[in-house]
Amino acid sequence: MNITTISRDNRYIAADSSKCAGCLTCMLRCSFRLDRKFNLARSRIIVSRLVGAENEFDISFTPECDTCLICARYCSYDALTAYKQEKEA
Amino acid sequence: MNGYMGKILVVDLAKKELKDEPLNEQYARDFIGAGGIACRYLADMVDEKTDPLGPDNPLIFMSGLLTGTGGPSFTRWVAVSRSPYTTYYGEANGAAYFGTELRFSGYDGVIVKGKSDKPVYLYIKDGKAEIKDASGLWGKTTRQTIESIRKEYDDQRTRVACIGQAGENQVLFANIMTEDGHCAGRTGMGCVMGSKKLKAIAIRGKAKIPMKDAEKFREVARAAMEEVKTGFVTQIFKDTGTAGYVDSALMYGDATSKYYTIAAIPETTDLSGVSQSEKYQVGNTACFGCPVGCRKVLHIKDGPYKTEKPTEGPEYETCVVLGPMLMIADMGAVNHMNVLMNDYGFDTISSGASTAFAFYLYEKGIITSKDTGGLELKWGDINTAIELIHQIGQNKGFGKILQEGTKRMAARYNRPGEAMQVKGLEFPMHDPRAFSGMGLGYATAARGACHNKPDYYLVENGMGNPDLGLNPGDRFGDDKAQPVVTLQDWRALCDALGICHWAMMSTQVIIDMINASTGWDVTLDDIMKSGERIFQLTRAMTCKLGATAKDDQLPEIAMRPIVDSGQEGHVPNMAKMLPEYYVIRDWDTTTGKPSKARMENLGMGSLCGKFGIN
Repeated sequence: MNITTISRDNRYIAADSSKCAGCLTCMLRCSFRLDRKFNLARSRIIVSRLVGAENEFDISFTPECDTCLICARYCSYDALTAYKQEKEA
Repeated sequence: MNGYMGKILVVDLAKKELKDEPLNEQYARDFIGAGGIACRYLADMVDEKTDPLGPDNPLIFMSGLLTGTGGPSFTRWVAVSRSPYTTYYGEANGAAYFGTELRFSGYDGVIVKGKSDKPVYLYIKDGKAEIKDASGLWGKTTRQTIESIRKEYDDQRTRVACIGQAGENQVLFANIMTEDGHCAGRTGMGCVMGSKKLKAIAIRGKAKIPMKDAEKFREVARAAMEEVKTGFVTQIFKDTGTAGYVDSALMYGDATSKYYTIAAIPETTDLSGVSQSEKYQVGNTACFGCPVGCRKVLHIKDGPYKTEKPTEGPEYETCVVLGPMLMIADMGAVNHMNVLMNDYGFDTISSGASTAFAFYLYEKGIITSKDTGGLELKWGDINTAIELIHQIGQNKGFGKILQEGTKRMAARYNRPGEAMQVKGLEFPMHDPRAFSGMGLGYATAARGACHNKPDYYLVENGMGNPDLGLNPGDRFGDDKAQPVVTLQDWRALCDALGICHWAMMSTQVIIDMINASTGWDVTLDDIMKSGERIFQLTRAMTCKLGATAKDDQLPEIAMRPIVDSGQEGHVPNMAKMLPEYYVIRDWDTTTGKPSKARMENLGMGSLCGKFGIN
């Protein structure tokens, strides 16, 4: 398992690339939320296939990601999990 | 031009010319997308005298109207040409990421004309195309080709459609392959690509698809996504892939053994999707924007066919045609053969069926080891089957005969009626003796025995389309003419839209997405008429290229009952269904062509001259 987590305020996204199927739905939804256009080039989440691999992907987030959680809401493969957690005092 | 990129790339490989042309708006409005538009362009460019492997036969790549828009599994694209394999209308339908990237690069399609004198590939980036030297790629497998091109541009998201050695060597049923073993298969479009010395098309783009009402589209696409995500088919295929159907196919007698002559051997269950998941599956891959993810990734870790790395798993058709059809039930071997075929880049159905036909002829003593170059063809012999894959891919030895397909083999060995094919295209692994509707579909589909237009076995399995009145009935019944017509029209439309058949959603959301994307105001009746227009166009095309009503027959071997199987000894009643079908389609009982009145009714009156309809 290779899990990366990104957070802002109390919102978290855990990305488990071992579950990713590479469908790029997350990227489409991300681009639409921000720009009202379906355009992968505008996405703040980036999914890319590792060189020479059949189903190994790398999931990363650009610095512009505001952790809105929309990518996780549309993931069909449980690769992206959204959760909210209050920071410990 | 909302909904479309509005532009096609026209490439002349002989003159090394590239030019952008506006997409013909009338073609788009009438024939929607993908195979519809491509066939309309093809009608302007070929006739019965065109040599399928000559410079005048174009190869047309076209995306669907909704391809790449972000609806569930809107990924599909086609390659269309005059088929060198069947000699009729050729259409190969692919998925994954090639069609979507084609649109992101700014084009709806690419028309490739002429022939190059040396190997080349086409590189398209952000609406700019270049013809590049491919001498370093020639001879490489499809997998190596894709990796080399990606490496060259240092971009894993460059999408590549290419041919392997099979296409280079003019294997008549060669495929065009994309990543993960996804292919545009059947009718030998890879062979046409090879004849042009076009090794690959590589694409990368950042454009967006123009939409009339993107907000509305998003809203509907979201509902569609929910429908597909929670659907019955998705739940099954996510776990088992299309190979999950193997167990059902055994029950129905849909899969058979020994070249379609006996019930499938019980050991076939070892090849099923469930068994694959339990033993070998390490993940799934999905096409663009797809919540189904039916593509299995397998890792065979032991036995003689173990692989170093995970590979794409074989689909249902491949499992059966390389498995029970050849009396093989070793999952490792089937996986190995599938990967080999994908590397060479040729059709698993046609090649598997041709190989099985050779085994069948050998068993009957019609051919001997003298014909096969010394090979003994014994049912279940994995090593021989693998050797034949190499011979086919390299187009040498006995493979030279196998790559011609069963129709030509039957003529060569004087066994008319024993080749399981229609119009030169082999039957897929859905037996018409298990589902009568498939028999009628095979007999009448434009490209020959095609299991996608229609996939009537799904209707009988309860996966039809209630909105269109396609509900399960008596699978052996002879009342299939109307439902088969309806399903063929519907599938012609789905393919033109670029929607995967596994993304099952209600017709209304599809209509809403068409309207939101294009700004049209179409109804169910309108789109069904478009579907019929496309279907009749491809039919007229096949007839123009030489097919007549006589070619709409199932071979005699398909009428031999198999009593001891899920088929229960049934054979489809073609004598009743076919004339009924002809009446509904309004086809001439001699020429097989649609009538002038029907062509006019569909707004294709002006095409009658072109198709010789009077």
